[in-house]
Amino acid sequence: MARLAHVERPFLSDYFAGKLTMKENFFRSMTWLHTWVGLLVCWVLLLIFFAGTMSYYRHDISLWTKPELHQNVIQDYDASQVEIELNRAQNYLRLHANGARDWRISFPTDRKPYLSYSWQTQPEEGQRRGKFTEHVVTQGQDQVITDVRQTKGGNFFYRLHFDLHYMPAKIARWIVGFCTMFMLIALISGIVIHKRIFKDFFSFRRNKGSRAWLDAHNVSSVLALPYHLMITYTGLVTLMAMYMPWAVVTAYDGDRKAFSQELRPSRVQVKPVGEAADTIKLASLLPQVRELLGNIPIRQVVVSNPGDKNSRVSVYKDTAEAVTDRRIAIIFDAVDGSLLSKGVEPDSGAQNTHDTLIALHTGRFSEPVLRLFFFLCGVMGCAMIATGTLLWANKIRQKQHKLINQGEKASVGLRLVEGLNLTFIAGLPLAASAFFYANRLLPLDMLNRAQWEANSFFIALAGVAVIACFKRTLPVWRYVLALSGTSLIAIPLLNAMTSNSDLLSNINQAQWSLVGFDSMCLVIGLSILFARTKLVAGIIKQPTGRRPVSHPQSMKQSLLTQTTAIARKEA
Amino acid sequence: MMLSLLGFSYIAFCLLALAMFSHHRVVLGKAPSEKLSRALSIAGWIGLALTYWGCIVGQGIAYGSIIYFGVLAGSGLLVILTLSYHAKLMPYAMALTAIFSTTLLAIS
Repeated sequence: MARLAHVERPFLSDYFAGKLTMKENFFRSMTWLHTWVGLLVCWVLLLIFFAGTMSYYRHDISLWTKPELHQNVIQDYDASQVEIELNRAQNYLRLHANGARDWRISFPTDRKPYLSYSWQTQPEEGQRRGKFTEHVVTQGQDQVITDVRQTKGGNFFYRLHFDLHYMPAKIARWIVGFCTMFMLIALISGIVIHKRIFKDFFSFRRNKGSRAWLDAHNVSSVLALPYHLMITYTGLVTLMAMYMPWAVVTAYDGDRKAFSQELRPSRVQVKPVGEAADTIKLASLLPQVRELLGNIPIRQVVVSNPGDKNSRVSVYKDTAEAVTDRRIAIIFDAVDGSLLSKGVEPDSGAQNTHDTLIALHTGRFSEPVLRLFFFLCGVMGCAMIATGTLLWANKIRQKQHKLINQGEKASVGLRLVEGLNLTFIAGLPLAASAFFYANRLLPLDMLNRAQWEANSFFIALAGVAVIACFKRTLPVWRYVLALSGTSLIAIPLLNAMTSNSDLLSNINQAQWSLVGFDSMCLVIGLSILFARTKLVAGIIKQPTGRRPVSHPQSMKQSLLTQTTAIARKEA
Repeated sequence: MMLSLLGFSYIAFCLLALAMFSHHRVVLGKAPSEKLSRALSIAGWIGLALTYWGCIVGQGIAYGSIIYFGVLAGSGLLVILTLSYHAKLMPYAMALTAIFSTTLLAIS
């Protein structure tokens, strides 16, 4: 798709002078659009894509980052135990979370394979949410693990995906939305200019200089094209009410709450009235729940305003692999136990469409195989963005080749692009592994520990950026890649040394998400080292371009003729 | 089940690649005749359609359609890796995959 990177911006004068046909002009414009739209946002986009791809394994990362939970915790849902578990949970929460804003009892699911009691304290003045605490129950339920290290875990990457970091969420979401829109434009213009999608479908001509980079760009884009389009479009949909609020504002006179109340009656939070009342025994609601759900497992039971007269019990089912995974609760009055909502919302086409689009984006419904495919496509997306920017840097360097050979400095723009490439492409895996090392190595009682884990992510990234300010040569690339590859490979070792389980014992005990985390780090680390061996000095003449380019001029020429030839044929 | 579907779509993509002039020459050492090329391409598309059918039957229309695109991306990547690193081995890889996928499908 990056054919564009080699074509000049069309001049309007050429067009009027009749030098270009309408079609040629159109292709050149599209090419120009693809280049610049892609380039302007690519590094933020790479960060977003990277974080989003990691988020597919958000819960697995969270579990890995809490080694306290690596022993005797992972279990399957057992319908026959639900009643006993509910009773124990209620007793425990009454004892430990009196006066909380809500209680949550989460049953094991495929993605969060453990039983936990959690609660949110009353929010402090001016805060929207209170403090959240989660206690995890061991297998056999005789113990509750209360002392879990402070960490953001997988939620760090999940938040990074749309809230970025160190800035108000609202601004971040606007930035992300802006970049996403650009991505959509880049994708569509990319499809338009890449007329040979099917001819070049299987072509990856390695060792052919920048041709290979172009092929890699095309392959990573085209193979996962349905995914790229889907993820970009649905990404915009997730926050559409924020980006385009006018319909809601007009229809509801600016009352957003009224809108969400009508949209999701079951999600409306009830306010406490301040009168004390005993909460009903949760297990006594089970027969009614079973009648409604049948054999579907319960995912979570939430009691809002426990101990208050105005209190509700919401029972969420495990939606498992249903693609439209609406989270609609069965709601009871928590004092007298009367059924308030059966957990069925009117079937609306628009809402189904919206929910399906969101579900496609988050992929919550996917079991391990599909999740792996999603992850793979996400990695291809990162590769697409990375190869695109590398192609651009390569092209500009070729343009300045002569001047640089005469001893002049590369232009500011080129140095900036190459620096950012080094920082983000080689730096992100390193930053992620820095996060995991910080998770295990920072002292447990450290102040703001969770924040410092996040800081180490950005410190690592900044470290690479500082190096990139001074040097962006091939050896630096090799050095950074070696560092991130090795540190990722060592992660199973780190896990073995800093927790009471290791790769082998996890395999023995069938703790597959932990096994998956370690082995994924191994595989990714090895691939990075493999990529490093491909960056051999000697095939390269310029100091920073990553691959040699045999005949830059003739290639550019051939691409240009190709595009125009296609355009002519069409005309 | 999923693994055998991945195998079948790999074979289908290989057939489609072999239907192309340049890839055919690299893999088999000679240019394909027009007829052969067309036959290969038809076989490839049928293979892809069958894979889709397998996904839907196994996983339902909604889930199956989503996973189908994942299978396509994965197997496409494998075909590209085969072509660029061990192009000559492609016919053997196809035969092996065929045996492997069929047995897997038979057991499951």
